[in-house]
Amino acid sequence: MKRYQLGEFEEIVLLTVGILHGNAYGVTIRREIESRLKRNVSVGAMQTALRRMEQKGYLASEKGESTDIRGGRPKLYFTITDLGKKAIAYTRETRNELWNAIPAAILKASNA
Amino acid sequence: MPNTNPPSLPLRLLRWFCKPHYYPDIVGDLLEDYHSRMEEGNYHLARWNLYRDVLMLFRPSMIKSFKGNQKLNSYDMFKHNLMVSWRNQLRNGGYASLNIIGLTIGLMVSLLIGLWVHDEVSYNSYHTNKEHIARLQQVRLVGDGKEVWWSTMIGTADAVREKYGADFDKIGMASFFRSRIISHEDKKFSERGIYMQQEVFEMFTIKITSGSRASISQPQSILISESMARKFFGDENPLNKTITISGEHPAQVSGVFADFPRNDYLGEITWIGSWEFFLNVNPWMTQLSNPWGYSGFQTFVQRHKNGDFDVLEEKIKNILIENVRHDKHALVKKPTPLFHPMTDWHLRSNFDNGVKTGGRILYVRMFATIGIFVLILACINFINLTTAYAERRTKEVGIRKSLGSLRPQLVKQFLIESLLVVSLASTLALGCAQLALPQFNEIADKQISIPWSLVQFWTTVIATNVFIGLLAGFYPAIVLSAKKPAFAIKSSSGIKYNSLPRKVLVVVQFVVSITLVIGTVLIYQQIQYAQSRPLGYEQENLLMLERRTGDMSLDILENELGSRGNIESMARSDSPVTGVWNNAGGFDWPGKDPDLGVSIANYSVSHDFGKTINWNIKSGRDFSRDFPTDTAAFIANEEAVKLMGFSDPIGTVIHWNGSPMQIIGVVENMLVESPYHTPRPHLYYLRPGRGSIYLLKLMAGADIPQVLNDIEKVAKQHYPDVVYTATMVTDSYGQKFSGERRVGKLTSVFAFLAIVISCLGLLGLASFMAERRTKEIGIRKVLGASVTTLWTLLCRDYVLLAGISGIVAAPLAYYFISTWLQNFEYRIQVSGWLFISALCGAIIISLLTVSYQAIKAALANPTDSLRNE
Repeated sequence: MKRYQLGEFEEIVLLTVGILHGNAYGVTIRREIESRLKRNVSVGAMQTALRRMEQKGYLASEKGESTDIRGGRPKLYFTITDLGKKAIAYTRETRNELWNAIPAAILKASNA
Repeated sequence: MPNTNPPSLPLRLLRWFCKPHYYPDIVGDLLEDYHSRMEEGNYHLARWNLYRDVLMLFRPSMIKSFKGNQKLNSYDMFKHNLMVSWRNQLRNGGYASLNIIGLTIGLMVSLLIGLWVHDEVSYNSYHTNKEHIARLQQVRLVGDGKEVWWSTMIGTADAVREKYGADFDKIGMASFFRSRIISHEDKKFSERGIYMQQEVFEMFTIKITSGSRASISQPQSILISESMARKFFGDENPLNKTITISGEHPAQVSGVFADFPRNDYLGEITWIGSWEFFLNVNPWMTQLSNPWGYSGFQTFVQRHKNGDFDVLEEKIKNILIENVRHDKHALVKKPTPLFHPMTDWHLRSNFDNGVKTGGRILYVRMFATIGIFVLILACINFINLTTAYAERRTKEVGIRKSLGSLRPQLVKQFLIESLLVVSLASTLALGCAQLALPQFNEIADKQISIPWSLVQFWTTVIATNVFIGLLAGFYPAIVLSAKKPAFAIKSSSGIKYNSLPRKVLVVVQFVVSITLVIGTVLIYQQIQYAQSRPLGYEQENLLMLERRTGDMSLDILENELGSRGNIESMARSDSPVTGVWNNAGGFDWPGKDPDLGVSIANYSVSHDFGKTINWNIKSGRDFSRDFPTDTAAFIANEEAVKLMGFSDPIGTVIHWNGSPMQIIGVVENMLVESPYHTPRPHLYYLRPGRGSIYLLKLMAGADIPQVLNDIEKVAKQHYPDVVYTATMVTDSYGQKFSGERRVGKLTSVFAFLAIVISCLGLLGLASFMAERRTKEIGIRKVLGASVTTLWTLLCRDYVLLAGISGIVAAPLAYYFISTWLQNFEYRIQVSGWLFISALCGAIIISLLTVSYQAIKAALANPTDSLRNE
């Protein structure tokens, strides 16, 4: 099986793009992550992750409509490619394998 | 209501650094965020977030590359031009290599000459006061002319100091250079040095590395150079060590000075002795009854910073005459002082009739001219080949033009190409020069090295590169870029160039080469001529010993060596047969013009001198042991007889400083001094026990190493302290030609390279022309032209050009060479045959160069050339 490299933040961004299905562009992705995960997202980090995954072929982008509020600039919509889907599935599977490998007792032990 | 517009600063910043194709949507996102925050009423938060977000975007993945994303057109064009140029060189490999080789040779020659000229011109620049130092020399009447002596009378410095001391910074005396045997314990070397007064020591730049400067004024003290210190003392401290000069005078090392550069007046000096020491060694100097009767020392002066030697010379012009007025013999010479500035010592040291006439500067100018011309030759080659081969590129130019290239852009392209070729060539030239340097140094007798680490050197090299690149590339660039695109594309050979400029350039090339060849041949002829000049004595198998210390008796040597059978005869004299060491005045003869000041070379010789060197007695007789009165007799040479105006000299009595001497014989003039000078009057007198020169006539076929061995044994046995050197007179005589031979060798090398460059150019042109006319030749052949006809057709032009060049070169060469020959009193007559043979040579060489291509083209099968269309 092919290996897919996906960082933690990249994984979050990739999943969010999936969640927003069809409405994923800079502003919405950032808000979605901030509201769901209650963490601050810097535009720089997010854009870097988006562009890198686009280069890797996990994401595809498409220019959308432009509005006055955006100063006439178009939105750039992201969608997950097939490769992206495989990557995210691979990540999930490897996590699951690891979870399954942990003896149940260890996870229960601490009550503190 | 606060301003709701987003702040412009962060957006401008983002635009500046962000990758352009990321910018639009990112800035859109930022603005959308900003506005939605504004709607929520968080005015400050919105602004703050915008700043923060922009700063957070400043990361490597977002920043545009330094090359510029909207890449500058000129950068790309430059890269493109360079690549096209490079590919062009590779595609036309043969032509490109001719071009580069020609330029490389040209650049190498001019680089070597440049280094040589720099070395010559920077003579004495080691001395910081060089502008202000001069040697005080004397101009003396001799016959009806004037001669300049480097040496001055011993009283000169004091007299000038006393009367005009305020006009100079420093005045002082020094000896001439002296080679002395210096010994320390078991080490014994011959070293050159000088004795100088403290003021002279202070004038020159002498860098003391250990010891004291002031010690130069102490008796017994000597300063030595670093290299001499190493030679004698190794790593030991040389200070306060005692060394012995000439085997008898102990001196104490009181200081060590840094070695002088080789191109310096003091360049060969390894020791400097104090003047007081000099006086101790030569006590007679302080006991002279008349300090104005003997000239044998140098006088140096240093003027004030704003002084002027011409003015000073005028001011002190009577100083010598005033002081010699009581001395009849000296007064007759009417000595006047002359300042010879340090900056002229090396390059302008020839005087003719008391006037400075130049000297080595002639060679410097000559070689600089050659260097420049060879460089011009190489440039001409480059221009010729580039324009000729440019026809192949007319299509390229046409297409470029139709695609919108402007003329300046095309010019730029060709200039970049020529700069590329020039820098390739100069890199090669630097490498070749480095490889050729040892050879060059040997021929030129220099120790030049390429100053790799010198900034000025690189600036010069780069500036020359750019200059040549632009100069050589300019004409092709203009010609090529001027083409009309329609014509250029339609046919590659549709337009005729004006070939006149190219022909003119070929003529210039050949003129320069032929001039150089004629010059070289004439230099060799002159040397040959002087070498074959009658000597007046026999040089073969003549061994000369020069005694440097102590004394050796000729009789003892004769007794010891004579019996061993290798030696025919032996003699002794006070000057070698290859130079005059003694000139004297004070001669009076019947009928002498009382105003005539003469200086006659004189030799003290032993009885067998004439027999040993086998001179030609013209009349009278040789010195003989049968006549005890011969100690008061002269043998004169023909020139001396001519000077004195005797018709029958034998028996005439001459007074020398009052004592009567009778002329007993006349000998043929002997060639003793420069082989290029007319003979001078000589007088020989008998002093069997005097002189440091021993002449040994060896038997024909004598074993020379054996003889030297015998001499050494005898000397060791009888005179263990004596130091002597032994040379064959033929070798010592050969030295006289070394300067001219050096010049001859250098010019011949340069002339050869110039011809190579010219031929390379011709070869390139010819092969190109032959190629261009392949079809024409094919058709002519089909129609029945013979190989000879075709050969003539192809060669005619070049032979004509070579002929024209020969005709132009002849008067030029004649002019240069006759200027050079002016330096020699004894010189060849330039013959017309030389010019004719040079002309023929040029024609033959050009014919040979062109013929290969012409015959190849003429022999080619016409079907091959006509088949392809």
